[in-house]
Amino acid sequence: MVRKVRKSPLASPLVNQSSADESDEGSEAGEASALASASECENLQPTLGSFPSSDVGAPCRRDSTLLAGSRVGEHIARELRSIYEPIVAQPTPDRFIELLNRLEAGAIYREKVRAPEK
Amino acid sequence: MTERDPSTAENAGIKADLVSAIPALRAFAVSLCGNPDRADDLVQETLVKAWVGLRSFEEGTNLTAWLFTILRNIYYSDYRKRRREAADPDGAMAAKLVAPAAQPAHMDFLDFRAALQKLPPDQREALILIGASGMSYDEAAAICNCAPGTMKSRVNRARNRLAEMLALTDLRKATEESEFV
Repeated sequence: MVRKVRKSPLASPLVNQSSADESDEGSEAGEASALASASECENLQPTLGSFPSSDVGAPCRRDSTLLAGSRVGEHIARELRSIYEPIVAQPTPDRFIELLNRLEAGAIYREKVRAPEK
Repeated sequence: MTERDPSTAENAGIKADLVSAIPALRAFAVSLCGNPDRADDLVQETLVKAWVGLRSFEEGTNLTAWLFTILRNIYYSDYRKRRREAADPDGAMAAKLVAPAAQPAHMDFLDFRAALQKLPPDQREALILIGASGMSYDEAAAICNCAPGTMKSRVNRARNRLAEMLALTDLRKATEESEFV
C-alpha cells in the first residue's frame, strides 16, 4: 500500500521525523474527514503544555474513543493515567527553570523570527 | 521574507509556554526511556533545541505536540543506541517508572506496568500519546510520523494486547468497577 505523505500540522524543517515503525499499517481513508474536523476543533483552542485531565478540556481533544469506548479501554486509560499523572504533578526541577532563564537572557540565541510581509 | 530579532516580550512568552510544557514533556520522556535521569537530560536537550529552532514552530499549532516530536526524535536518534549499549537490553529498567507509588503497588498495578513494557514500542508509544498525554490522533500521528489511521490501529492493537496480557482477572475487575460508576 502506498503511504501518503501527509502535510503535518507540525511540519517544520527542524523536525526531521524519525520513526519507530515496527507494525506500520496503511491509513484508513474513511477516518480522514472525521479527523479533519477534530483537528479544526483543536485549532480553535491551542493548548500550550496543558496536561488534560478527565474533567477538563474541549470534547474533541480527547479523541480516545478506542480507549474510552469499552470497560477494558477505560481500565487501561485509568491505569495509564495513574502512572503518568504523578510525574506530571511533580514540581518542575530547578535545572529547567535555570536553563530557560539562561535561554531567555540570550546565553543561547534564538533565531530571528519571521516578520509579517508588508 | 523580512526578519527581526524576537522581542523581550516574545521571549518571555515563549519561556512561559515552555515552562508549562515541562511536566508533560518529562512524563513523555520517562515513557520513552524509562530512566528519570536520562528523561530529564532528554527534556533539557529538547528545550534548547526548541528555543534555538523556534522559528520553525507554526503559530497556532500545539506547542506541546511540537516539543514531543523534537524530544522523540532526539530519543530515537541518540538514546536507543545508548540503551542497547547499556546493561538493560530488555528494558527492565524501563519498567520502573520514575514516580514513587503514592500507594503500595498491588498486583494489578505491577502487572499493568510490566505488560505495558512488553508491548512493541510503536504500540506503547501510541497508547501513551493517546491515553496518557492527551494528544489527538492527528497530533500523535504527526509526532510519530505516521497516518492517523495507523495511530488508531496501534492504539487498538495495544489495547487488545494489553487486555490479553492482563488476562481475565483484570477484565473481571474492570467489569466490577464499572458497575459502581
